[in-house]
Amino acid sequence: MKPELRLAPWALVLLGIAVLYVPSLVDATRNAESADDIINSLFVLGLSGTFLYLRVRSLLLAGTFGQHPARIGGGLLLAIGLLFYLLGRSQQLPTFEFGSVIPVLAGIVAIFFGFRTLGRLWAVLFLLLFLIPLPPSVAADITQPVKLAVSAATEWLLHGFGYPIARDGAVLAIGQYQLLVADACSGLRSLFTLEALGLMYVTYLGHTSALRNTLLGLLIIPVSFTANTLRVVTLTLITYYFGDGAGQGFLHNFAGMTLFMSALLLIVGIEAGMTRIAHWHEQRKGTPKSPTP
Amino acid sequence: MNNISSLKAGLYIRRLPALLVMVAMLGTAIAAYALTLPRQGDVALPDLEVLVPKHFGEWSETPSLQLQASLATQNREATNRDQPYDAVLLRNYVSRDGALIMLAVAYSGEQRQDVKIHRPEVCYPAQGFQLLQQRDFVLPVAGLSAPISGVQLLARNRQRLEAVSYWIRIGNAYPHNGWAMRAEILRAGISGQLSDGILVRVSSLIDDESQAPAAYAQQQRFLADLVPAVTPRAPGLLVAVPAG
Repeated sequence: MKPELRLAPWALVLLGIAVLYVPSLVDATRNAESADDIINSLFVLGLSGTFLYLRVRSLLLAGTFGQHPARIGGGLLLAIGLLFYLLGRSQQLPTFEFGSVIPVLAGIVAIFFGFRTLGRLWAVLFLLLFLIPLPPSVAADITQPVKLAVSAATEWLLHGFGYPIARDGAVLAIGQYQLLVADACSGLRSLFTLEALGLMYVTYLGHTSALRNTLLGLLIIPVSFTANTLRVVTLTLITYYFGDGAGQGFLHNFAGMTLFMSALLLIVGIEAGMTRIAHWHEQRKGTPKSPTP
Repeated sequence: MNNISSLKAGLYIRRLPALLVMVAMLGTAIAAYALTLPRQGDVALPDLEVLVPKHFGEWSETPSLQLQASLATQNREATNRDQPYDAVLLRNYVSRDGALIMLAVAYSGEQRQDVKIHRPEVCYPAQGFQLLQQRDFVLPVAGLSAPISGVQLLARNRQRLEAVSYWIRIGNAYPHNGWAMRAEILRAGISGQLSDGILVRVSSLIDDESQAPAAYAQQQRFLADLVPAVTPRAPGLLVAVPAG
């Protein structure tokens, strides 16, 4: 007979996790460069939580959520995670501080349920990767060229439509106004969120085709770039017609949200299209395969 | 049999390991808190305006005619990270024979991984400059135990071509790139020190690239005059203090 679930031990574990990461989250929120960062991170966090719940539930239902504690191996993993945390938190290295969450959680799962169960939860932990802030120098190396490309695309597009626009690096001049395309506008954060969402989406759909999943993952990059260019174009036009204040205020966030949603829809659309092509392909080959749910 | 409760039973964990896991995490959190260097309160900041003389050697201050490149990467919505300096000095000097040099000094009382000096090779491109050249230089100055080690840049934007020489001192080191800077801050941090940091940057406008070597040579003379003029008043401000 299986023992009853008791809540007290779980409360202890959750308390430990909270003691580690609640201060980190509070500090990160306080130091965040923009509200976008916070929203994106909360989004991924909520996504990971939901995903964890769904995944654990389906494993329990399938009876594959094992109880084979790996105390030593799991303990080792936890210790490595805690070491990363210690270094990251005391030396202000957010990459280590938040990166530690993956070995810490993996260690806890292994300690209580074993490595096989941990393996079945890999997708959840993988999702958490998107929460880890990149080291600023690496982020700058990625952000800078994307920012310039977004600015150049905006200039090219609006110039094509006959607007009086000029560009100097990441500074756009339209009419009497000047706009600085900020780091956030490169969309690195929202790209991460989109990737995380896309990953969860394909896992949820249960596609087994690695080719299709990789393709979708890669397509998110140009989709995100396009969405961000459209966002900068929108903001540039808002500034041109309604002035500086309009471009920085509510409409700024509104444009961000709208384009995030449209990128999301585009991805779902691409996925649906790919499924259809796959079906068509299979039918032509005449291989009777059950369609994906 | 109740299906839900049997499902939940799969999540059963033992109390003792849970307690140990919690203690390990709590201990780590406390250790991390203890090892975090406290933010410094009000520390006496160097008055750069006074410490850097307006006349030294063959150089004297001249009213600013040119707008200097900003010291940070962004000028809107200044946050801690974008304006990491406690004291900033921007000045133009002219030599007896009429050569103009722009000096920018930025001091920060504490260098941290998240708030640290901006490197010119990052903030020039952010302001629309293109870097044409980048190389290291070493400047021996009489009376210093170790030569100063810095970086020369050639930067162009639509309006101008700039020859730039600069060094960044963090604690007693002259890191040449972002990674070296991080490593130095980490090294100091682990040994429980909080380093101060300073950026000393000079730049000259030139008409074409062939004038760059002459501009760099002139900048080296300027810096070689500047350091002995400041160091007696503020040892360890512009340059590393001799060890021991």
